[in-house]
Amino acid sequence: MNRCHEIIHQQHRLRIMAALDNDPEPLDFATLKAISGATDGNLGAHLQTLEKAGFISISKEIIGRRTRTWVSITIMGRQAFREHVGFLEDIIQTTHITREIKK
Amino acid sequence: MDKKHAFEGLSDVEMARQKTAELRFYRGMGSIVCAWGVVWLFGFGAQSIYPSLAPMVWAAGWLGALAWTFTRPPKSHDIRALATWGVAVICLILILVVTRADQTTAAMIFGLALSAAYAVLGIWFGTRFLALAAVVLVSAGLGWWFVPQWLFFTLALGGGAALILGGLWLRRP
Repeated sequence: MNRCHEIIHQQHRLRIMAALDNDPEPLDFATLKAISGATDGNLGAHLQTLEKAGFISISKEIIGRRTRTWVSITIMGRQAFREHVGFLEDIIQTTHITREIKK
Repeated sequence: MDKKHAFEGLSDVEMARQKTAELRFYRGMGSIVCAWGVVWLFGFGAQSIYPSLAPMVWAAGWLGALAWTFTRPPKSHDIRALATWGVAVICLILILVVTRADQTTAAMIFGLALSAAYAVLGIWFGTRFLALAAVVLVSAGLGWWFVPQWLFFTLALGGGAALILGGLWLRRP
């Protein structure tokens, strides 16, 4: 059933979830930064929020001296994201139908 | 939540989906561009330094790069797109045969053809390819008009080293 997920609705988090839902493979931190338009610090905070909610999982890979962060969407996260998108589509659809009836 | 917020949310979702698909395409193409860059670097490098070895280097390079290209993701190659590229390559080879182009002219024509191919990719799929097309075109033009005796060398650098760097650049988000 479609419903609003307040955690997902924030603009950067919505973009992060859309990107993860669209890609079959995990995405790295730099890619998510480019897609979401968030700063390093902000992105880290948003990812923590989504991970706490169980919508994403984060893993670290050590390459030489550097650490690469990989993010993937969980089954629960994918379901929540699709419910949220359905909810947004319902709002637009409902408004459209209401206008048609008023006419 | 009102309709305006819902619309903005859906626009963000669409934008993120498009950007993700674009970056995935660049990621997939990056290693392919690098592979062709290696072929050009060694092919024209051999023509410049060891001309007798060049045919062997080119043959090995083409076979290796083709194998690499068709085993890298994304693997969902459209058969009509492949046929289109095939026709273009055959036409190019026929032009070289019919005009009895010497090695220098053939090298220049290959440079122009590669530049055109990247320009087409840039127009249809991702603007970063336009930058690669420009680099190849400029290096071929510089070699042809300003240092014709170093044409193979400029093509090795422009069509080779620049493509390797370009491929690495494509892989960056």
